[in-house]
Amino acid sequence: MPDHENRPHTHHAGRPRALRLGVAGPVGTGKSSILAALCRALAPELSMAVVTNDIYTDEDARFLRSAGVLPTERIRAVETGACPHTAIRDDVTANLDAVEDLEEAYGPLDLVLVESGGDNLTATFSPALADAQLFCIDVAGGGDVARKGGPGITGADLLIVNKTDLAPHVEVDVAAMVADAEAARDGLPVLALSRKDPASVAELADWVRALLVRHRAGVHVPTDPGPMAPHRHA
Amino acid sequence: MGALAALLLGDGRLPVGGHTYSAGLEPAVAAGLTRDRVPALLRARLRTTAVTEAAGAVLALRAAHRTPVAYEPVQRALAARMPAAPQREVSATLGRGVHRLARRLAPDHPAVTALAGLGSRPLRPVAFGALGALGAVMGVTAAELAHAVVHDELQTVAAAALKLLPGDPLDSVAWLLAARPDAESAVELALAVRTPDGLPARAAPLTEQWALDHARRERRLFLA
Amino acid sequence: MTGTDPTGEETRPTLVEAVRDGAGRQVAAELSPGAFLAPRPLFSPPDRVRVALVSTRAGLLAGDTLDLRITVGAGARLELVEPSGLVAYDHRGGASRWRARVEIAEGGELLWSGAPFVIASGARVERLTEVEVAAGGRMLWRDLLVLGRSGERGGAVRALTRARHEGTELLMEDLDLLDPEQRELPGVLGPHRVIGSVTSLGVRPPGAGHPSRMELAGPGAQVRLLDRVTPPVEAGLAAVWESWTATECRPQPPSGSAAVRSISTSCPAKPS
Repeated sequence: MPDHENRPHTHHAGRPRALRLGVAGPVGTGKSSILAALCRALAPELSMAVVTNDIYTDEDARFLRSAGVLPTERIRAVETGACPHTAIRDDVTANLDAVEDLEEAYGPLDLVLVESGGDNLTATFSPALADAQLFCIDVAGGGDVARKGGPGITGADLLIVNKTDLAPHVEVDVAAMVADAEAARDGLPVLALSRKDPASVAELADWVRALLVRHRAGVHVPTDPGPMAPHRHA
Repeated sequence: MGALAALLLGDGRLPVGGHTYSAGLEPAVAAGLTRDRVPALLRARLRTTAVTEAAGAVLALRAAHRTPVAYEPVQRALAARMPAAPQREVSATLGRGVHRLARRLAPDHPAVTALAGLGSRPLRPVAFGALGALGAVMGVTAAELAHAVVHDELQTVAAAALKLLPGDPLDSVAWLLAARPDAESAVELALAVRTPDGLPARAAPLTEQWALDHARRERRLFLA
Repeated sequence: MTGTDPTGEETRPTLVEAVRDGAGRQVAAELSPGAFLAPRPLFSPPDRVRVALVSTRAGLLAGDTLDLRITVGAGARLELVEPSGLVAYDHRGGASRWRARVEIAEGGELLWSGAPFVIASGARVERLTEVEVAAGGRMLWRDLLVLGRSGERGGAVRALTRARHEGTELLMEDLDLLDPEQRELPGVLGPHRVIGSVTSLGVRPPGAGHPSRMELAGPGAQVRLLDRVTPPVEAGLAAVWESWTATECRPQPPSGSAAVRSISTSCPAKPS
């Protein structure tokens, strides 16, 4: 059945609607920093907006607003009823509302970043909300995180191994961690990232640019990283 | 279809954004409500706002079955009974989720297209009435709809209590069962309404103040 | 306009009507005493008619009906003053009624600063306020309900408000405080027994700062204050009243309303 507003390639004033890129991953792995870095790198060339999901409404939104990377009104926080994973997967209503409102207020937009509330390894975005998703883990979580797997690690469009600059301090071998991740992902890309390494940030921005090209050409197909493992509500 | 549809309408897992709503519990807790007073809060809501909600949904359901479908009178009547702007905004946000579902199920049904013809976003009872009127898909009776709205109100408070005032989840089932007489009278009052100007308007002044306070709060779990 | 209810109690309504006459003067066209309240003209500045509603009976008892009809003509401005409050006493089982019907024509304005209405323990009052405001009209209304005299839990009152603007419902409220158990529920009144409000109907006053300010869906706003005791509510309402009667939110005085006093100089002095 048709659902015009949520069809990925519905043309609005002659162009496809904004690419919705989800950013998921466990608490403290650097999702908000990744959003900030993407805004810094891409806002000069793309019309962008951000939606944050959090346990308490607007923690991440406030971080991003204070980072000054986007006009504050383009950063919206949604209430998740203490269930951030529900809000990005089981019932994406509040997030769809926020994305639509941003499109209405500032559209046409090129890219909307949707940040998941810090949750566990099992939370991934529904394709009803996100056209593509990043999953973020970090070296501080331990070298074996990638091997543990989970739908985000194995199935996200891009897996980020973040905070590589900390690797020597936490005795993690980044190359081995990336190799583990690649082995778990069956050919899907993995990016070792540090906000202190401009080349890695540039690589991330390029990946998003390439994704946007595929989205606009109508050849990117949103895929679901897979079912969540059993979890407890917060 | 009716009985199954009625269960769907009252199911908190219906993906229309209900999990972001605590039916006034979070604002009440912020104002000092304790776990032992949750049953009293349920009674208060069943005597006041829930009657207006359920009756509004019933009026919208009846409007949806007429030709042409005109929701304006019930939408305006609801707005005149929600003096605090945040109450209307929250109702419109929740209505939007229900509207999205109705559009997905039956985009060309007159009961659905008339929602878009309103000058403002449908308030939740109006959207519920429209959804409940989708004959082959979701058709429910007025009594089923009123029960679903009232049940949803109770379950919303009970589910949010697990996050806000943690305790044994089995307790909340007992709360809901204990609230049954008040729930039934709310349903009866809702079903007795014939016209929008007869829409019950029972005020809950503290609830209004709490809604204003909650809208200004930065750290919150729930929309309202 | 005299009537009796079936029990023979007097129900004669108090009638007040202000108009703006052909010369642009503000005139009291009707001031008829009712069973409970007598309208008395007060010294009035040229831009309005000021009238005091003076109690002529002690207060409400079982079977009483206080009926008040206020009419404000096109472009007229009426200020109602209540020199004393009203008490509904122990009804010993019966009920009383308080009714006000307000009609404000195009561009008319009513300023009604109501005095406290005390519902003593044992009282049972059905109150109905009906307001019709035409285009460009406005009513600014202060209302203060007090449940019980000092130390009392208070009697029963159900206060219905039905306000329409240009024929459309603007504020519909059924404040059902009949049952003390029910009204003390969380979210209704809780521990409070004083309910005060300042309501603007027809105009949304500028400014938004008050934490209890409610913007109605139509043109209007209300600040409602709740408390266990009266003085903080009275003080809070007075501040809102003052800010909402500041010149910038009033309709402009009609042109040509040269300083002509419409009411004779024999008016009683302005009450304190």
